[in-house]
Amino acid sequence: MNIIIAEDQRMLLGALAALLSMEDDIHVIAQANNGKDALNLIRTYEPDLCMLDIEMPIMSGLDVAEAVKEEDLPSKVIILTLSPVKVTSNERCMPASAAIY
Amino acid sequence: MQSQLHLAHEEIKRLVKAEERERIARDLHDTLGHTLSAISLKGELAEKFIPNDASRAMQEIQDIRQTARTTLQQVRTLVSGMYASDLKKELEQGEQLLASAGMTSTVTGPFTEIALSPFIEHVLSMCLREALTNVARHSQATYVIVQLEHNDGHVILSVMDNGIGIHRREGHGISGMREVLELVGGRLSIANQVQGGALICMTVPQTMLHIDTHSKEEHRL
Repeated sequence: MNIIIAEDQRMLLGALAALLSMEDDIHVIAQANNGKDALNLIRTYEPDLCMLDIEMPIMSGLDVAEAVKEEDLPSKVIILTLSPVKVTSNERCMPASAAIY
Repeated sequence: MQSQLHLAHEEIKRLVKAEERERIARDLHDTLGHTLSAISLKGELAEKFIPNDASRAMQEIQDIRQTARTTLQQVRTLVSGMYASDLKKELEQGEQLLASAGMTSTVTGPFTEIALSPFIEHVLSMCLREALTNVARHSQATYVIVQLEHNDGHVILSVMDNGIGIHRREGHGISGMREVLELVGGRLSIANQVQGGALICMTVPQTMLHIDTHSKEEHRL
């Protein structure tokens, strides 16, 4: 499975990518520090899955999930958050077909 | 008049305290949430590396130690309330924040020369932080200008960007800024520019500065 990870905290991004890369069936093909770069990478590589931090500069994970849905890109989206999930986030995730963790 | 002034000062103190508490809670969450997650993930990585790659495991363990140490310092600074409440420091941190969001920034005006009372400086710093955080998060700008002007009896701090403008409803951060500025006799204005992007203006009147600087003993805030 090809995945793209986007997270603005570089250390967290590095650790997450390294950990997932250790799995035989997961290939981390690209990483981004903000939502805008993530969306460009998703458009270019069309990964099977993208993991997006909910809060990122320039474009949030939720903005990217909505763009992925709107542009009909084939990638599945997982939104990552450290905070308790807000109702508004859930409301935005469902139409965008994104899962939130 | 004297008692009205006193009441206004009490109200300002209350608002600033509430804002400060909220900021500390948010900063603690941002700092601790991310670093503890990183420490946890790096711990898991180290565990996986131990059987086959001891040197990589050691590297991860050293990272964990360093991260924990840095985080401890950040939390101490945060809780002790020494966390950037002067305008110059706030400006430096703001520039770093904008750079990390891929935005170029230009700063103009007499930031180093202007003498503000600690309280006014605190209010302006808090508002500048909020404004730049909003720009970094929502504006999609590539270029930001931060300008300080001092004329016609007012100090005006403005933040101008070339992004998408402000189209969402006013959030807690913006209304908090407006409230605190109005209570010191200042105002906040937010507008979308004709050529695109937003302009945030924070104005503090000179008269408030005089009251604050010349009668410190009476009206210390």
